[in-house]
Amino acid sequence: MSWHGWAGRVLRVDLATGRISTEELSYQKARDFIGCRGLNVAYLYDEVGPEVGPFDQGNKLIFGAGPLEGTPIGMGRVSVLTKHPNRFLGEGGAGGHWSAELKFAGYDLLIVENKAERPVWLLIVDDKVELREASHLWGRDTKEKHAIIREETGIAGIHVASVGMAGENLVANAKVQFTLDHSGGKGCGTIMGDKKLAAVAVKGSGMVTVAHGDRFLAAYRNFHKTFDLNTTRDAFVPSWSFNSANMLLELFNENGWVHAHNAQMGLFEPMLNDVEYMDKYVVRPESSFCCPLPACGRRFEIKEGLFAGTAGDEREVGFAQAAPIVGIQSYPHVIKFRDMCNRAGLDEDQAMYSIAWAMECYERGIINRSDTDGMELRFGDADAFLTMVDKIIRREGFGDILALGVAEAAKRIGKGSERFALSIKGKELERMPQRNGYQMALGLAVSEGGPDHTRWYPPYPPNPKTIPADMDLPFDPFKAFKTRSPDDKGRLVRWLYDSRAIVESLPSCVYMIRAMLGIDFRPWLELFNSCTGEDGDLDDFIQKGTRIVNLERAYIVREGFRRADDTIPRRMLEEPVKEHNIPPIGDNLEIMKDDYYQVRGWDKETAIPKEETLRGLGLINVVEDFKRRGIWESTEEGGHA
Amino acid sequence: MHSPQPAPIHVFVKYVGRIAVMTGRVRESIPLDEPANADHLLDVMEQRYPGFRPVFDPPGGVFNLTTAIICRRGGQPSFSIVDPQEPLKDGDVLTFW
Repeated sequence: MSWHGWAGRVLRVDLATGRISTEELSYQKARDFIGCRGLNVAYLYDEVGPEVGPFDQGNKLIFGAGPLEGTPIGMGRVSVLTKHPNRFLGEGGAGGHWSAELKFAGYDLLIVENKAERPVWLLIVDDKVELREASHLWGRDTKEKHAIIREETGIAGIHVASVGMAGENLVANAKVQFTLDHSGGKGCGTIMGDKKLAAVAVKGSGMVTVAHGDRFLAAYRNFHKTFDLNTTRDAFVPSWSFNSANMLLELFNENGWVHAHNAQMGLFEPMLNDVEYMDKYVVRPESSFCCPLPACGRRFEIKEGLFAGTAGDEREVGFAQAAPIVGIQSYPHVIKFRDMCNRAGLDEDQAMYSIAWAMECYERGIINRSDTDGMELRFGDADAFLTMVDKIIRREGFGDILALGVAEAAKRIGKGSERFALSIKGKELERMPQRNGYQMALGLAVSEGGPDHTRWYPPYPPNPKTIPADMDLPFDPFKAFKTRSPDDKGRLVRWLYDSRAIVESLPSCVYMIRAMLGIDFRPWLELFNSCTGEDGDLDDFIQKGTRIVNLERAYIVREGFRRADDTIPRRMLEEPVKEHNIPPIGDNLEIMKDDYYQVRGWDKETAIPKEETLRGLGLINVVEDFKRRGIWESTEEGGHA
Repeated sequence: MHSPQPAPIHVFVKYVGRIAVMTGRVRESIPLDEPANADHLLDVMEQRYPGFRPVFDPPGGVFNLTTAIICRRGGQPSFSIVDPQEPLKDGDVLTFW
């Protein structure tokens, strides 16, 4: 068939046998699940069942582009997916250019199967695909890997996805690191390391064909207008255009959103200053493929003093929020932290929350020097923080415990330390508010991929008063955006999840759906239809997002996750943010979950999608699978939280 | 009889991102005559930093549509100022972004 948008091909690589093959993309799957995040889970559901353990040969690693990837809308977004070491969906998006190159090479998906006996790396240049020996790359950091591959291939514009030492050493939530220090896929780096796949380098010379060029161009121009600083309707756009998410430091602080000292405090002063970062350390923008916000990705460099010579790339919220969590007030230290994570493919959330947990345990006397390799581990000790980051990467001493992830580390230490481990489904928290943002608390709790704000971000419209009357939204924005009320959060979070699933499957970047594009999906429908030649209406389009989320839920249900696993750390449920007089969430989370499951058509007791819900979405294979496995008769109660 | 002089209050302001570039500083304390509101504060800001007011309150436009002012007061949950007549109190911490 003739494909528009989609390349129409899937590339499979079997690391055990070295077999490389291509197959036609399933049109039915492409229509039902769009691409990228959606297509990834469609293939993973069919190919990696609950009988396959995360570290078994049968686990797979999938890199997905989507139909709009390779156009200016795609922004280089890739979704990486695997069965996470904790058995939920280890999924994450990353920007850069890698995914656009995969499309230019002629593939929508790359599916990596089985394990290599010795380290290998994969080269993709259009139809030339080969596995190469990688002993010279193994043990190198990600930047070194990228540089060696560029030199070895002689292809200057080649883009590389690789694992660092965190992945090679099977640190629990290691990520895949892409060129320009984009990273994604918590736990995907771990599985990639387990498969001894050091890197995937890709360069394509083809192009993406668009079904209706004039319509697509017009839709793209409309999209771009929303970033016009003079006419935008979103307060974030001007600030984000100038200084990316570093501006959030002070906003988080003033709203009681920071997790200072392992979220014992909601205010941290003096907070690191975003303008100081811009003045002293930012060298130049480093944007993703066709990204219209130049400030979002930036090159940093420490030119003098402590850690002089440290240089790399960063984007979005990231690294600077480590400062309040572990209580440090030094930009050179947090920049060095970012660089260490980039080079090692270490998940910064794992590092900062597990070390913050250890610091709290140390200060409470639960652990002492005999546990921490003789180190004093207190909040505010920036050098101790970096030393422990290095120990996690190398799995040395106490770092070997923290490398398991904070939830598992707390189980090992015991003595009540579990109470201070901030994790969801066994994965460290993200730096997102909960007690002063109930929609975000619910969004984090019900995620099928562990804490992942991109599944519901941004969690608000630009301004409820500016929403056109003809929008007919499935929630009341004036109720739903009251931050400390459970009212209408179920309908809101369902809408956020379904709509963001679409954006991440087209794909585009959820940080780009500012202004009305975060709430009005008619422009996205036009981009999708004009690119692919499809002709579905808005209801059909939104249903694709609903279908993706339900399949993701079905996946983790099949792995044994239940309602009890959809929760947030006890600290958020039981302790107030004293500095802002914000009460704990308490029973409101369960109230919101009831609401959410009901509007989803999921059983309230179990959080399992009902048969009629799955049938209504055309997920007949899931219905049959659930019946065969007795999922609806199961009395399993979860227990992965 | 003289009428009593208005008592001055002090608010603490923070500037984030591009706003800090306009002001050339990231935080400062500002005295205001009581009773004070957000509109009075914008008057002071406009005197100090010409061009400041229209960023937050564009002529003929909507107040704080593409900007925000967060107010933290007395250890209570913060709130966004959506009305220029919002009264200000001594010790308020206002973040402009």
